[in-house]
Amino acid sequence: MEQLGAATGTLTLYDQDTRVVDSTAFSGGPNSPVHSNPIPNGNYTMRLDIRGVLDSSAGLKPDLTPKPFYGVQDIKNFTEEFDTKFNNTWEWGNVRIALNSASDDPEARGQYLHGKERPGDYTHGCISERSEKLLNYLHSLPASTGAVPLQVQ
Amino acid sequence: MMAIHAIFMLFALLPQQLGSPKAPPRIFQSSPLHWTAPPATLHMNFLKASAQLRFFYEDGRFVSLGAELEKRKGAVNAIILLTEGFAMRFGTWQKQGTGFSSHSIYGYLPVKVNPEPGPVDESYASRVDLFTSSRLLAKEAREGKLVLVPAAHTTNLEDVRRSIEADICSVVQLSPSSDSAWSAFCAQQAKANPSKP
Repeated sequence: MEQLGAATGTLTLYDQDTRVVDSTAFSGGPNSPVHSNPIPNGNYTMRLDIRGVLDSSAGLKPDLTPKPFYGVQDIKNFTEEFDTKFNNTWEWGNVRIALNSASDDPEARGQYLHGKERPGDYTHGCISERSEKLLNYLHSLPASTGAVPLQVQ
Repeated sequence: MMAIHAIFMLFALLPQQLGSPKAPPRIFQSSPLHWTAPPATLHMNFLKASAQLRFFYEDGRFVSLGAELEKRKGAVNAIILLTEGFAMRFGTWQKQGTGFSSHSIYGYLPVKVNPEPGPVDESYASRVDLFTSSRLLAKEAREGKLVLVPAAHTTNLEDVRRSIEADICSVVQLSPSSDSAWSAFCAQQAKANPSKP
């Protein structure tokens, strides 16, 4: 992990002052093949009231990258024409949650909390939680929960 | 309503500075861009657009980048968001008749595709020299239905270029049979910055 330079840390979810879930995560990787910085410190918002699924190429752009999403998105693998298999969980895991930010820092924008199947603990700046423990907990909460703030420090 | 919040504590290493190339490339981007707003309930003052960018280097190297651009509503300047996920191809370009062509392979995709996408050959119609033309003349550059114009009003192009070049050199390092123009560039970079990845 240290070899790739990813920032590692603990994701902790609180309900009022009660600790609900703890999980480990990583972000960035300046010494990794993608030479990326970790997500900047600051405040982000996860919107549990915005739900969606990436389950077909309609969710991908022509260059095969997933379209931006602003809430909680289930990530599925699928097979399309000419038997082309799209393994989206390889990089994103089974769930991704947008980390919406009002910051002007480019590295704070377009970030997600997501799982990962690919070996190598590094990201392009997103926070990745391999166990998906916290991701699954947030996913199980009702959409009426609305906005959940995430503080990166 | 539940008052839930999450904290992610980071223990980061300082990023390393990567070397810079000998000459900046000419960079073009797709036009027009279709700007879309996030859901209104987010109350965010930003617009996003998917863009195709093409980097033409004087030494024949070539990069294709599919990425998301973002700008504030009403603003002219935008930034490239590599954090949203991007598609990157690298290879070479050359003059061909009155236009030019490129040959590239995928260096990064945020989705694993099987079978893996093969090399991409593209041709561009342009009567002008890429490196001496004015902005207006460069508007004639075309790739199929894709119209490319010089990338202006994108404020983090230099950072993105450095980041992409470093990504490509990582790929080249892992795959010795990769493109020779990039191999030469990456070897030169490694020689200039022996302690850098």
